[in-house]
Order: sequence, then structure tokens, then C-alpha cells
Amino acid sequence: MVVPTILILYTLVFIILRIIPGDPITAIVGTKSLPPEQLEALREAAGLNKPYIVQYFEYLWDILHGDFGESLVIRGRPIIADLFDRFPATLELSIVSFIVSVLIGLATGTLAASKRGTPADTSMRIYSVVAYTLFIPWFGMMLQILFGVQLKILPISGRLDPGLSIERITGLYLIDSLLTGNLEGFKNALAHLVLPTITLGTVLSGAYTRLLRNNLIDVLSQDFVRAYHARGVRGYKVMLHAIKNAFIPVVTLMGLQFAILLGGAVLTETTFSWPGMGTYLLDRIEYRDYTAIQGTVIFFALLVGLISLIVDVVYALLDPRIRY
Amino acid sequence: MMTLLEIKELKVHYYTLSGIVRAVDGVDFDVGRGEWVSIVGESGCGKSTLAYAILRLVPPPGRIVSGNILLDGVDLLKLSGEDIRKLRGSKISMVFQDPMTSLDPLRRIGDQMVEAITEHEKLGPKAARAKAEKLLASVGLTSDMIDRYPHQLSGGQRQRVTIAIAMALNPSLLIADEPTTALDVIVQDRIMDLLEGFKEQGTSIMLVTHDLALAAERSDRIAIMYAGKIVEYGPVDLIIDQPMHPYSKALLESTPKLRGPKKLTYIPGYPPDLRRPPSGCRFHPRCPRAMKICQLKEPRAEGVDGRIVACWLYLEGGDASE
Amino acid sequence: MDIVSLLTKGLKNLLGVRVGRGMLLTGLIIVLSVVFIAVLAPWVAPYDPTRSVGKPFQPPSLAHLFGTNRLGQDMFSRIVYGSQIILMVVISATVISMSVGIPLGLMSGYIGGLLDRVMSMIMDSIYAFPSLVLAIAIAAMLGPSITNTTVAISIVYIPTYFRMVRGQTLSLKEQLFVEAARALGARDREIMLRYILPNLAPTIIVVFSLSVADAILTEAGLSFLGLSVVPPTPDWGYDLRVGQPFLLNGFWWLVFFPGLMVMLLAMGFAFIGEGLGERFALGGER
Repeated sequence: MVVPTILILYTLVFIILRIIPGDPITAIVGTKSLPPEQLEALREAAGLNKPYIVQYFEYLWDILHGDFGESLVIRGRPIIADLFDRFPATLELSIVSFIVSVLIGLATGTLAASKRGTPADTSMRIYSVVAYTLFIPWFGMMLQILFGVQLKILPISGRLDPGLSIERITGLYLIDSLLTGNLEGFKNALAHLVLPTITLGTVLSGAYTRLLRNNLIDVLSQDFVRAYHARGVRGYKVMLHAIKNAFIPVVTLMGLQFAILLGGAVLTETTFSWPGMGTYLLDRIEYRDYTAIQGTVIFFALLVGLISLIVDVVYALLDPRIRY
Repeated sequence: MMTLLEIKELKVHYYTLSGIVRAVDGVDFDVGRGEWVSIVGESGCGKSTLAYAILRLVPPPGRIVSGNILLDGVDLLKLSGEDIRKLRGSKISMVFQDPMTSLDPLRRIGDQMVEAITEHEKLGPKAARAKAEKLLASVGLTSDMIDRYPHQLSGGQRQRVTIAIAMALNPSLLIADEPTTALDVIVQDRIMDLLEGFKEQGTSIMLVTHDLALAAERSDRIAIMYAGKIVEYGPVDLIIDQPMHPYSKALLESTPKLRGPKKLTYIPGYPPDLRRPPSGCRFHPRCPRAMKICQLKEPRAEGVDGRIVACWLYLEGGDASE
Repeated sequence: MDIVSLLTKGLKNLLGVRVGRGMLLTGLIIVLSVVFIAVLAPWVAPYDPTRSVGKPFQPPSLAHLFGTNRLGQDMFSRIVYGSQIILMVVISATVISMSVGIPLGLMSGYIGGLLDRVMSMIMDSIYAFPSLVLAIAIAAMLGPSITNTTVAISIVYIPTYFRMVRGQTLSLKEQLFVEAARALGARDREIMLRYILPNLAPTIIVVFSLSVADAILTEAGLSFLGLSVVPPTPDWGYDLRVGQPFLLNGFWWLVFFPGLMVMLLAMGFAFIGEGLGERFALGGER
């Protein structure tokens, strides 16, 4: 299932980036007065002066071998190097935001389900709708104004204060700083993560709140929950068992949410000047670096494919009915 | 016979947005030690609610409004939440209708059994597991099933597991709410045999069912329930052979196995809406022998002829006609 | 079904309707207000949004309700006229998405077979891809303009309609009334248009509201990233972009009002979709 998905996405991106614009180089470079030989050189560097079919398979072959091409603007710089450089930042932001969103979703969803019908439930349901319609840049900026400008207690851009550095092992600052015993770096990286992850996490949590609440209500009215009570199992244990049952469809949702997560990450990175793949993409767009744009979008597609594979595996691990 | 469970004037109502549903509206009855008592009635007559009320498992918006439920003299309705929790699964156990959904689908049988045991008994994991294996054997299952998931077992097997869990701590009373309705007839029989076996070892059984024939086969005493009230109640042979209440008679006549070669009849009309039950005797709109007083005053339950019956036909103050 | 489960289910539904009705009403009020403002913009806005009409960086005052920006333009007027832009882009894009997605979904679901499998795979893949990134890619290649933004957004939401319609068609076509129509000799096209399509109407309306909400966020996102409109066109997302560098100066009104409007409008549509969804007892999709 993953392979066709990736192929289809590759084809889609190929169509969008190579075929639709006609001549991508002039589309990207615009009507800048560059001499035709230079334009032609660019086209050649991007591999565009061959028939489409050839291009399609050539580029696909390259990608599968990890060759994402070279930047058109910074000569000699392989795009894959840039991507690996920027990827950990986006990964760290995404993972922590994801955790935040699940925690918020669990808390609000469970609250709403257990206090069904009360004002608490109603406000949680309104929250879940409001949360996913929050405009990320706006919400992020409001947090920046409040915590960064007015209260001045949290940083509002970047991953670290200038002047500080963390030795790069994985590229994930929280982990690297702990691995190298860099406590100050850890605290600083954590502080920089707070506002962006709350912004992104809140927006994502909306969907989880609602799904978990609905599932939990259904599960709580099922027979086995009653059977648990009838056996004299303690209340909180019954609730935990129920949540586990209600949680499984949420996992599938997480797979879908990943797409929203990536999109949201792009906006979050831009708002908080976070040096990840999102800002890289926009950066390259501004510089008209065609090959880099292409490579980044393909990379996103591969990520999506990979995540849906992981979600399937996790789902099978959680639900024994699938395994046996 | 010593009385184990005594229910006095129990009322359980559901407070819904469309009205108060009087599911159990003044029920008296009792269960003796080592006795099998069945509650029989149509769907919606309140028998399941009655069963849940004993363990205080009535779901919202239901509430136990008034009455007493005495277990060995102790009023269960006056106990704290924690005290009743300790009784559940240990002194009184319950088995539910649909075995497909009574077990947590995400956990192995063994884990669920061990949890039920250790919530009440201080046993180490190995001892608890050994006990679980023995319990499986006592319901006719093999011990290798202990590591299976519910979806890997058949309906009959699952029901046996729930019974095993229910019997784990040797309860004084086992309540079974339509335990075999979702199973086929042969399996049904075996499950009933199993329950009878436990009864012989001293556990009282309270069976809730709509299947009069099933109840008649196994019970010591039987209670017929209609629209939230018990209309007739006594030794099973007596009631089956000589039913007094018109509803009991009608129920018998519409049960193929019990009425013999006579023509199959049905009871005209529908069970009443328990938000607005009929005045007087609740059965009067459908009763072939209704009299004027039946629609005005509710008949008291009185001992007549070896059983308890609530019908103006047999009470003083009603027109004496036969 | 016993009393117990009947009652708990009924109660759930009843309460849902009450909350749903509140949401629906609130959503309608918000959306209609914005539409009103958009339509009556020339009369509502006190100034020309593209002209410099005051001193730059003025905080909100009686003369300038929402303050002025870097170029001395009146923020309130920009917000008012911005509503026209965003509504125009999003509604046209959605109409295009619907006119492609709905027929394709209907045909795919009804005819089935290889066509269905292939189409579903394609649509599912696009659906799985982050909509904003896809829109960015399209907009980047086509260049910044309102038309291109509209095209980009319309492509992104085609799978949403396709999937919803296909799913419903699959279940509807098994129902008796379709078999009856076929027995009476109705042709496939007639069945699709006359029998199945009308039954899809409630679903389509709900999905419409929810995906318009999402499209609003996508459009604003695109213009925030600088890939959509060209100055001096008033656009809420764009205003957020140019206002951001001045946060540290404390000029909060440059970003507060545009962003708030984006959220309110999206929320309005989302409330309508959710409210209707409760009514029709549906789940939501993007």
C-alpha cells in the first residue's frame, strides 16, 4: 500500500513541478533578463532538456539512490545534505508537538466523556472545534506577544539563544544536549520549544479531543465495561481499560493527522523562525532554487509514505484482533 | 430454607428527558441459600434493571429510588461505594447476555481473570494464574485458553469464561441476565447444566430471562414480572401447572414447549410505556378477565394457594368470579 | 434492545442536538456577518485600503478603528476589503473542487471496478499529502496571483469531495430504492443523477462547510507565506506577514485583527459544518 502511494505522489509532484509550468526554469526564474545560454545551462543542470518519460525515470532512479540533485543556486551543494541538515529541527518540533497534542486530547477527551452532558463536556466539544480552526501564525504570534514581549519569560524565535551551541549527534537538541551533558543547552532548547509546540500541539489536539470523547462514550456504554464493574474492579482501573479500547481508532487518526502536522509545521516554523524543512522550502522558493524545491517536496512525500507504514504497524501492535 | 437475599419494595426509575420511566416499581421477593429463582417477563418489563439494582450497577439516568436489598441482613443500598465494590465479584457475581461483548477485546482471558481474582484476594501472580487455570477447568475449558484473546473463542466458550470469572471467589449468589439468549440451543443446555452444577455446590442462582420454558426447566421458584411489577411468584411446578394470574396463563399459552398440543396463542396489545403506566393493575388493558376495579386500584400481592399473586380475581374487594 | 441501552443512546442524541443547534446558529451569524461586510465593503470601509490615509503605525483610535500599518493604510478598511478577497478565492476554489470531485466520486462509487480502484488510490494518496505543502508547491510553480491561488486550493480539496461522495454512493447504491429504480428500467446515468445525488445533499453541505473552513486557513496560510496575493491587494494572511516583524515594537494591532478574522471566519464555517453534522448524525471530515 505504501509503494503505490509514494509512486502516485511522486508522479503528482512530477506533474506539478515539471509539466504544468511548461518551462519550469522560466517560471521559477521569472522574466529576469538572463542570457539564453545561462537559462539553458540551468535547464541542463536540472535535467530538464530531455523528454518527459526519460526525466521521470531518471529522477526516480536518482531519488531511490538518495541523489536528490544539486542546488541550482549554491553550486555543488547536494540537496540531500541540506535536507538532512534541516530535517532534525522539523522532526523535533513535530514529535514534541505531537506529544503535546495527544496529552491535551487525552485530558480533554476523557474529561468530556466522563462528564457527559455537563457544561464541562459542552465546553470541551466547543474547544475541539475552535482548536482546529485556530490560525497557526496568529495563535503563535499572540503567544509571542504575551510571553515574549509583554512578560518576557520565553524566547520567541529559533532553537537556541545565539552564542549557545549543542554538539550535533542526532540533530535533536533535547537528546544531544543530554548525551553530551550540556545542561544549559538542554534548558535553553527546551525553552525555545515551548511556544512553537504549544501552538502546533493545540491546533492538532482539537481532532483528538473530539474523537477520543466520542469513542470513549461509546466504549463506556459497552458491556465489558459493565462486566468489569460487576467483577468489582476498581473504578480508575476500569477507566484505564476503557481508554485503551477507545484509543485505537485514534491511532488511525494520528496517521491522517500527520499530514496536517507537516502543513502546520511549515507555518509554525515560519512564525517562530525555526530552521527546519518548512523554512528551507520557502527559502528556496524565494531564491528560485528549482531543484531544491523539487527535492524538498519529494522528501515530504516520502515522509508521508513512511509514516502511514509506521501507523499500520503500530495499529496492528495495539489491536490483537488484527494480529491473530 | 435460609434466606440469602431479600428485596423489599424496590423502586428503580430512569429520569430521562422525555419522562420518568418506572422500570421497577415496588418489587418484593427473595432468594434462599442454594436456591434457583428465575425472573421471567417480556422485553422491557424491568427484569434486567432489577438485576442491575442488586449490584447497584443501574446506569444513569437510572436511580434506585426507594426500598431495601438485604443480603444476609445487610442492606446493600446503604453501603458505601467501596463496600459494594468489594462485594461485587466476590459475594455476588453477575453474568451478562452477550458473551461477544462481555470481555475486554484487548486483553487476554488470563489477564482478565487474574485481575478479577486479585482485586479481592491477596494472591501472588503465579498463584492467581494457577487458580485461573483451575477455574477454566471447572467450567469445562482447557487451561491453554488462558493466554487467548476473546475473539479467538466461540460464543459458548466466552460465556463459560465469564461464568468462571463470576465463580472465582465462590459467591453466594450468581445473577445471570439472559446468559444464553445469544447462543444456540445445544450450547444453551450445557451452560444451564454448568449453572446447575454450581447451584448444587451451594451458590444461589438468580436467572433473568424472557424464556419461560428455560426457567421452568431448572428453577426452584419462579417470579413472573410485568411492567415493573411482580405479578405472580412461587414454586415453579405450582405456577406452571396451575397459574393464577391471567398474564402468567397467557405467557404459558404462548410458550410452545409448555402448553402441549393446544393452539398457539399470543397476548394482544403491547407492553405499556413505563413513563405512563396504566392506572390500577398494569395488565388490565390486555387482560381477558379485567373487571372495573382493575382499572381503579392496584391489587396487593398476597399469598394465595401456596404462591404470591397480585390480582383482583383472588383478593377480597374484587368481584369474586371464576 | 433493553431499556438500559435504549435510554442511554437516546439521551446522548438529545444533548448532541442542543449543542449542535447552538453551534449552527453561532456559525451562521458569523459567516453571514462577514458575507454582509464583504458585499457592502465600499459602504462599510471608511477609507481606500490601498491608499496611505494616515500616519504609519498608529494604534487603534476613533479615526482608525484598527489602527494603521507601516504604509499608513487603514487596517479596518483593509480587513473589510480583505473579506472580499478571501471569500472570493475560497468559494471559487471550492466550487471547482466540487465540480470535479463530486462527479468523479459519484461515478467511481457507482461504477466500481478498476476505474474505482485506480481513482481511489490516486485520490487517497493526494488526500494523505499535507494540503498546505501541496498548495505551496503548486503556487510556487505558478507564481503569486489570486487566480493561481484559487487553482492551487481547488486541486487540494478535490479528494475530500471525491472520498465523501464515493463512500456515500457505495452504501446508497446497495439500497432498495436503487434496485427498484433499476427494475423499472432506469439507466445508470439517471439513477446517479436522480436518485443517488439528491440523497448526497446533506453530506455535501456538511463537507462543504468543513472544507471551506479548512480552505480559508490554507488560503491565509499561503498568503502568510508570501505565495498568494501581490501588494497592495488587501489580504488578511498577507497583513499578518508584513506585520510580524513589528511585534517586538509592540504594534500588536498589525497582526491581531487580520489573524482574528481568519480564525473567526474559519470557525464560523466549521461551526456550521459541525452543527449540521450533528443534525444529520454524521462524522466530520476535513
